[in-house]
Amino acid sequence: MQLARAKFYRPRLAHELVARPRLLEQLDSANTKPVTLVSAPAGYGKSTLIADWLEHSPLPSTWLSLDEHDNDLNLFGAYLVAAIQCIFPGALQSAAALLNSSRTPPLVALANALSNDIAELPTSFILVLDDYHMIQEPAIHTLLSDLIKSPLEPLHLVLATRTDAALPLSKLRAAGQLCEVRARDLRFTMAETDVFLRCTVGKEISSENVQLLQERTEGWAVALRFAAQLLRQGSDTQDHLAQQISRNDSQLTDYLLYEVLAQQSPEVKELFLKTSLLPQFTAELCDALMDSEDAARTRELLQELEQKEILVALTDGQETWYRYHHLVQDFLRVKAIARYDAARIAELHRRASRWYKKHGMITEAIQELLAAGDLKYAAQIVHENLHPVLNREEGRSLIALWFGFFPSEFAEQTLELVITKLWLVSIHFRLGAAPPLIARAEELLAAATELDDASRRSILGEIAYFKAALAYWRNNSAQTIEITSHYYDYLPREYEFARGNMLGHYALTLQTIEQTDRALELLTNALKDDHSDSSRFQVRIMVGFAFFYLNVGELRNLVEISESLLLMTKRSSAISQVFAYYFLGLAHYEWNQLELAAQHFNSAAELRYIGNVKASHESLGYLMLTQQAQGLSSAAAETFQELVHFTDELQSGALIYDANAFRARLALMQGNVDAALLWATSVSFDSKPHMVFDVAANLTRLQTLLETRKPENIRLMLEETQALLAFAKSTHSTRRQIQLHALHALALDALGKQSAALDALAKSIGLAERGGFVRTYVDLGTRMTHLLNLLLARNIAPDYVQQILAATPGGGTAKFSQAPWEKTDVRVIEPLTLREMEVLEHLAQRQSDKEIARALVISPLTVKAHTDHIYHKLGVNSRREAVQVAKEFGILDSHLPGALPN
Amino acid sequence: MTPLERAEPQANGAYLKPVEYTPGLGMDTLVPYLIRVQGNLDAIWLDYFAISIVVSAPPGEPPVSTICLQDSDQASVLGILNSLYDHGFPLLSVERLEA
Repeated sequence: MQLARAKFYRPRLAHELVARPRLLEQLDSANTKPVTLVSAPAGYGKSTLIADWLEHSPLPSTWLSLDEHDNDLNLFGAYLVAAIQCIFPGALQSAAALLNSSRTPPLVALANALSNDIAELPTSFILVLDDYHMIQEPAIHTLLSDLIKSPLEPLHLVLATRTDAALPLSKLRAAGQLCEVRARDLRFTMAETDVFLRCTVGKEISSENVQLLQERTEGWAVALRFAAQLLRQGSDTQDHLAQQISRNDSQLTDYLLYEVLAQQSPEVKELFLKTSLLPQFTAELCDALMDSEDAARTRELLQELEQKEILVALTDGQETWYRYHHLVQDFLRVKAIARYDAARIAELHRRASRWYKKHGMITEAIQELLAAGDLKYAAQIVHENLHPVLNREEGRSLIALWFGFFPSEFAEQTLELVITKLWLVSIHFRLGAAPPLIARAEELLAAATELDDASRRSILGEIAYFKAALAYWRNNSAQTIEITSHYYDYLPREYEFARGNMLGHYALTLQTIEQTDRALELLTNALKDDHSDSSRFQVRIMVGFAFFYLNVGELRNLVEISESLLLMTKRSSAISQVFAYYFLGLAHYEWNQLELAAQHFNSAAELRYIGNVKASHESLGYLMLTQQAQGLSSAAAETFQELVHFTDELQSGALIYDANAFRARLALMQGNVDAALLWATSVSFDSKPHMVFDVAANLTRLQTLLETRKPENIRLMLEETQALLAFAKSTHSTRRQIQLHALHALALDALGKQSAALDALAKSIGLAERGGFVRTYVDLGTRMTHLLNLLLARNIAPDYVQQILAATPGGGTAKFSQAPWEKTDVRVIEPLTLREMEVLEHLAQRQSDKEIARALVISPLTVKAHTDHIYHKLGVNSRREAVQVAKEFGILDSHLPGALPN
Repeated sequence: MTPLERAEPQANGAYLKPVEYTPGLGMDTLVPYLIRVQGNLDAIWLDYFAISIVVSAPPGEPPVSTICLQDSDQASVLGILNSLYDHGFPLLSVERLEA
């Protein structure tokens, strides 16, 4: 995540700061209390007081200034973590990792990670959140509430806010855990006003005037400061000022502000108007806006304004950013808008955007372009920065953040944003939503006559990427090969992530049409050919290699490549690291090294909010099966709950399908055939599933039918097994043939055809011996053990068969554990009610609660209740997300097969 | 409140006698408020604000929650109004009670 450094800088203290010992003392209890609230309107000197207090605080402290752009859980979390890392570099690893994933982590997961990480910090520290009133996002309030719910020893949170934050303050107050400084504390007393005026004005002020000022400003710091500015100008204004402010026509600050600003030189006034459009700026950015060549002069001006307390300087000691005092900014911005026409203002935003872009602050550059109304160009900047972010394999939630800046009608009509959306869909494992987007992108590309050839070519490459990926997952090898061989070179070299994936899919497709040598050659050459400094492209190719070895059943090679992959990714890429653990888990499970398998699957599952979604999801499912195989039923039950929870959060049709298949497999392992049968007869299965992942569900169905021991089911199962086996052969998927031959053997055996059964099993064993598959047979139960014993009698691969038999419970005779299967509700996804569907449709039309209430003739409160339910069921926090998820998920069609593994 | 009068300089440069300043309610003054919203306010709110809540629900009408904010400055009044807004409680009235 790119973070604006200036947000961590604290205000520089004025030289002539008046000491306010009573407030500093009051704040000292913040060193012992978990939460401190400094709550008062703008201009009461909240930030100054806190900054002053921190100077003398015995505890280390860190500062975070919030603004309206921070109303995003992920972004806020990233800033929070980065702020704490300013004191403890490298700390908060698990929270940081969560926030670096490609999607917003669930609130609970983030809150837990943060709490645990913070609890481990070695010393107490102070975290200041300045301008907390800028936060409206309820999820952020909840996050902070969670953090302070049971006070975390090291954390002392200090909130500076204009209005009381939506945190359980009352509860904290009652428990004596809240240190509070409010407006009535902050207002200058008569004595303080006297000292303040004496110090800042530098001459005697009559006591009547001091009293008048104190009364009239009500001790409001900002008003006193401006009054002092005016008084500093000349001796004769003292009485004039006193007269002016002793009137009752309110708006005292406006008057004072107007007077102060009116006294500035034309040069400064121009600077005011131009810079007031920005939330903050450096001297250099100021130059860029002013067209000024004289950098030294600008620096001087800004310092003067800081001394006059018109600007607040935020600094880390080296770099300095400036912002206006909030009241001043509002005042100036109104003036700037009145003074400049829209075109001029847009040009200023454009200039700021150029400066941000040049300095790598892409998010700010995009925001300034949007403020300038240059949506088209902003979309181009998003697209330009897409691949660097994808390549990095971290901080991918930036893509969703940027995409969210644009109004959806615009996004639908803009090529670069449709492409961005496709990448989002792809990394969020919702490739089912891709086809209409691909069609839209092609339409827009055809209409985009202004594109130069190079851009057109690279966009064609990207569109081809998604088409090839879809074709790959739909088992359409001819199309995958055609598209990839034609368009692969269209992808620019620096699109490392895209190129690596596309090549991987291509190689795996070649393997399915028995061009194994070519596939290996392609992958090997790609590894050699990588001249980039980073290993990102290589990492993608290694994942491709691993899938290759998995499909052909070469488990030893799989382990070897996965171990290298693990080493390569340990340093950099958690997204691909998950694959390494997943493959290692699979191989060790198959070898019946259950403890190792559980460790690897667990490592992958722990990375589930960071790493590749599909591999993490599979790993969680396999972890559950491994635990069951170890006889740890209650651990398996817990993992199942985690799987349900994780699936709920992801809302991908394909993953819901997988999760149900895993559950059925667990049921079979527990001997609950009825539960598995319920699933196997209520889900629709693809007759030609993808052999990498999707077919696993088909295999579970076959085993379920077999275990019902009903002749008609077994006949059906035999038929389906033969069809799938033919398909597995045609796609050269050795691993699946091993499993299908074994099932075939059991079917034949059940129908009394023992000799044919043993032939089938011999085929399976013949293919499996090289890789050393064990668990495939053990998981098929006692009848398989029996067949293996018969095979042994025939002296077929005796060493290997004995090895398998040794792994069966009781070394080849005992039965599976018959642990009772609890009939819990599998609420992997809770369907929406009819009413909720109606509300959802209205939400999609962007109607307000009130409008919806009117349309459905219910109260807005009821609408609110419905939307809350919808959010809960869809696992989202906002309308926009709800509509987005519902659209992508296609709520109505239950299973869209196929999705990218990457 | 005194009606607003602008001070105009007279010919000799002296100002008219300014309207006397009379202090009123300050941003920091602590006063009790009564806030009424439509909807059923949960007791969880008591954790958040120093308030007491009475909920009434006349038959056939939507429930009304009356919130009594004890001595509060403007920051806490605005804080609770923001929260009520965020949680979708339509505001019926805000009333300052005489201390």
